[in-house]
Amino acid sequence: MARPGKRLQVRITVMLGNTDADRRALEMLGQLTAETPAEILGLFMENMDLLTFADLPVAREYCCLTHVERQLNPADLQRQLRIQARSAERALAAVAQRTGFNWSFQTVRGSLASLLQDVVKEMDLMLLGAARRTLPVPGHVPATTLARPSSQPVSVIYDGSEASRRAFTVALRLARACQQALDVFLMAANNDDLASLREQTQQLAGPFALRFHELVNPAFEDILAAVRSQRAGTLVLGINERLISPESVELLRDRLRCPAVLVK
Amino acid sequence: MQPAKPLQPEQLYQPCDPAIFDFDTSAELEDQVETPGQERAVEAINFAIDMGLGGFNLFVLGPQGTGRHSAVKRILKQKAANGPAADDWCYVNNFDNPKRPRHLRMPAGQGNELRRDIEQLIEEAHRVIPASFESEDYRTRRQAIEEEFNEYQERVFREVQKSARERNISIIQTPTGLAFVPLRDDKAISPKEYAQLPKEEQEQLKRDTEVVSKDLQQQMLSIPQEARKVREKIRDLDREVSMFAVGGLIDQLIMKYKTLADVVAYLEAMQTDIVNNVEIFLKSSESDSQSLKALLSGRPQSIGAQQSAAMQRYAINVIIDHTETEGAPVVFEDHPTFPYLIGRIEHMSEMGTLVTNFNLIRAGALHRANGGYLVVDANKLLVQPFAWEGLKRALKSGEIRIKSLGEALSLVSTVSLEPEPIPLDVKIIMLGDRMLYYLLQAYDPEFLDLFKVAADFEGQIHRDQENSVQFIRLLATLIKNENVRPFDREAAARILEASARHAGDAERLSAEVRYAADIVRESDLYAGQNGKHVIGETEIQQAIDTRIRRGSRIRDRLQEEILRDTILIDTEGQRVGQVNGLAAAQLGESSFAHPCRITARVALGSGQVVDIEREIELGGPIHSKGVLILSGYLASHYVVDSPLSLFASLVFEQTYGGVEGDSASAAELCALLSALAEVPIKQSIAITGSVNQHGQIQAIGAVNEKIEGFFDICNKRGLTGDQGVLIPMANTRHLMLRQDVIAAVRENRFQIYPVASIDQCLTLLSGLEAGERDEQGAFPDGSVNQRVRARLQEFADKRHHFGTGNSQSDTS
Repeated sequence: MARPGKRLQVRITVMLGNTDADRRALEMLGQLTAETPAEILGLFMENMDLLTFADLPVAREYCCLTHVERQLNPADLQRQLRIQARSAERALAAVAQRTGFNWSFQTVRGSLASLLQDVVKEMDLMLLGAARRTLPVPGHVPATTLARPSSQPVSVIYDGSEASRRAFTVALRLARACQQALDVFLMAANNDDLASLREQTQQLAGPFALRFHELVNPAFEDILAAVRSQRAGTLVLGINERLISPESVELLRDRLRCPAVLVK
Repeated sequence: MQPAKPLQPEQLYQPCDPAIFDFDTSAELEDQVETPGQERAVEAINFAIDMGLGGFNLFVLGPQGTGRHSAVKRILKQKAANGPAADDWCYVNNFDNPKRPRHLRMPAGQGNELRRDIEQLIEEAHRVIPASFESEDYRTRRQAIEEEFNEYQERVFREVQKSARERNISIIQTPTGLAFVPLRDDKAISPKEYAQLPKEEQEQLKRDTEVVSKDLQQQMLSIPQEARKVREKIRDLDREVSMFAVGGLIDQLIMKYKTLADVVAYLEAMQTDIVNNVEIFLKSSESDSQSLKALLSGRPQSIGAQQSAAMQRYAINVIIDHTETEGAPVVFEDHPTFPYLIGRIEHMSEMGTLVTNFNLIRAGALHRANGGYLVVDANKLLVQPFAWEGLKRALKSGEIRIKSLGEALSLVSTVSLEPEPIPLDVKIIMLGDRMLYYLLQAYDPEFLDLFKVAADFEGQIHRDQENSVQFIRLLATLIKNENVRPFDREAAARILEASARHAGDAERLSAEVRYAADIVRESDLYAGQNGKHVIGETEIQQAIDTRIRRGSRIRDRLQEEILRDTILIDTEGQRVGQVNGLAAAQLGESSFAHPCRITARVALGSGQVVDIEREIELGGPIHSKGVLILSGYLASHYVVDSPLSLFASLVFEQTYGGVEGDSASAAELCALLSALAEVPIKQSIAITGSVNQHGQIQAIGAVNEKIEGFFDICNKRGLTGDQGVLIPMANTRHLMLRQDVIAAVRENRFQIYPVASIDQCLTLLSGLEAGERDEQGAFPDGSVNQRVRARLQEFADKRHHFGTGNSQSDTS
């Protein structure tokens, strides 16, 4: 996917973590870049607040693995972050080798909001994995039976804007590449507009089957709740001013469980 | 005493008149299945089979080849056909204790039906259960439960976060947990800022951090408890779904087998187990790898690969299936080893160890015969280690308990099973020889408790017309299915004569039908060579002659050595104290006899009659008994009122093997009397017979062989006309001599004398009167007895004269 007048290579920034969800998201991106040459920049973000806090004498950490509280050691913290960064880089390299895209990797320090502001100028797509979260992903209930894994659709938010149109195109390609269903969350001011939006997406999708969910003047929080309720595997949304506001970033960071693909 | 007269040719052989048979060839005869002359044994077999109480197992004894096996088989087949059908037996998994598989008892044919039903159920379950767990309804309910937990966790985090925010603390993720970061103006306090804070504020920050940390810890502790509740809910949901998925299938089977309480109990237990272990049907990774393996190996991918775990757990191991059995089962176990009788538990090698499960339980002969009859050969059973003990244990306990010998003897320590014992209801029929039966009776205290019935098969049967006809008919039936030519009536007559000879009795037939059948089979070859379609007398005789020839190597070698004078045997002249005895030998299937020189020497002594064979321990007890009888005869007949004062030694010259039996005691007595009387004995006559203390000659065995043995030597040297054999009178009815012997007798070139007393023997052997006592108790002058008495009296007088009473051996 490339914007008219721009070079064909897609620039993708991936905010990497160390979870299975991140790895699945990377694989998906790999599928996407199979047809379109892409350049992927992998970012590992070291939380600035955490690094600052680690130097404080009151810095303590609660270990989720052992449920024990301990003193936070700055050197130990840096070490762990480096380990995570290396692991993230390896994961990116592995996917790149399989799918053949160009890639580079950086470790950055800062906050998600500031990162978004900086990176958005230089990229076409941004993938936010679980690493964006402040809090860990809620623990899964250990299964007593193995239910067949259900399909986790690709979801996209469409409000008729240019950004959402681009986001829809990316979502469609992702869904086709990964053979997943595509859930379209239509956002409009009224019901009439919803009908028009539905028609637009159907035209764009062609024969590909779409599942529609309609929201009238929803708050961003409600949109994310709706997406969560449908057990989205990946959410694709177009970048706009509202999205990169600190409040939205916070919601995106904490309320969405699946990876998010931001499309410029 | 009347002198013995030689037997006439017609007394030497009892021919069979072919006219008693009303057929041209045996092909016309109706089948005969019963062995004639075995009524007693057959009655015993029927009694044992009809006797339903425990302990009345049957031992069939008698010589081999007398039709024991076929009689048992025939009677059992008849009885079993009308008997009730035996049950099927299955082993199934014991879900509470897999080491102790349970048995299921089912009517005949239903075991396999249940097995198929269960297999089908498993196959259905493999489709239905995953489908249920993939259904939208299940996913929705499950997701709702998981969502509830996720929401709980997030609520917990948010509450902690909110509480932290109120204290100006932010909770952020570290690589391994959560950190509590104090904020100032919504930004993390830097170390520099912290250092500039007043002490109280620093302490306050520290306290706030601690409060938030404690709060988080407390909240986090509740999460595992919630997780446990959620898991329970999911488990309950899974059980509900599983129950719904398979419940209907199992209910159908329960209805089908509702009359079988054990089966219903198993199905209910199986249902509970499936519900508790439903993951067996949902292991997609296992099934995928199995599918991949099948794909890579080129095998068609089947649901069977996925079913192995479920099938292993829920399959029905039908160890006994009587679908095809009509009536009660009859089992002939040819290889009665312990595991083949009692059953066994097989093992598989898995990752270097031996493992097993209820599917590897295998039935033994007792299982197969349960509810019916088991026939085993006693010899084969007793030579197998622990087989006899195992059988007795099963019979006494009334149950079959499968256990490996290795485990019972602590030789192996692999994982094994203890299957639930199966109740045993069986009639055992053992076949064996008489010696074995009586040994078991004498030395096994449990034997008579378990085998109360004996069916004793005769070795010989009366040679009357009815038996003769039935015998021939039986023979014809035996060979009918073997593609052997039929025989004519002359052949039938010759077969009967051969059978009588085999029995060693002109008035009997040998009950060893196998012997006669083999003669016919061998005759078939010669009939083919002679270009005949029907076996005739010629072929029968040919078979008999060649059979004798095949077994006569040692006999011929012995005769050669006699003719070469390596072994000294005189057939002419006369000698004092020397007589031709006759000894019989049995080597395998062939028996023959040969003359044996017996000598006696006498001297003054203290009444000892030394049997040299006994002295060197080559004489058996019966032989020694015969010699001791001679001493009794001597003392009581000749020197009643004076001490027996002789020393006599008797020996079988040139015998270097053992000597047993008393059939030569008459010959020994004659040699001794000859030595005492100093009267020579004709070497042209041989003698066989046992003598008692009264001097009566008693019957012996192998009379035909003995006569023929001496005849052959005389014949090869050239018959002189005065050669012959003395045989006990009682043995005349046993004579079935060869035709060449009969011809020689007919031509007066050889004689056979039946004798009843030792006096008759002495007369014939010495040519002198033996002498009978007169009223005064004296023997006639010049008679053999008188000379014996005179000599013994002389010894007594001399001994008296010496006055020491020492034996000859003391004085030498």
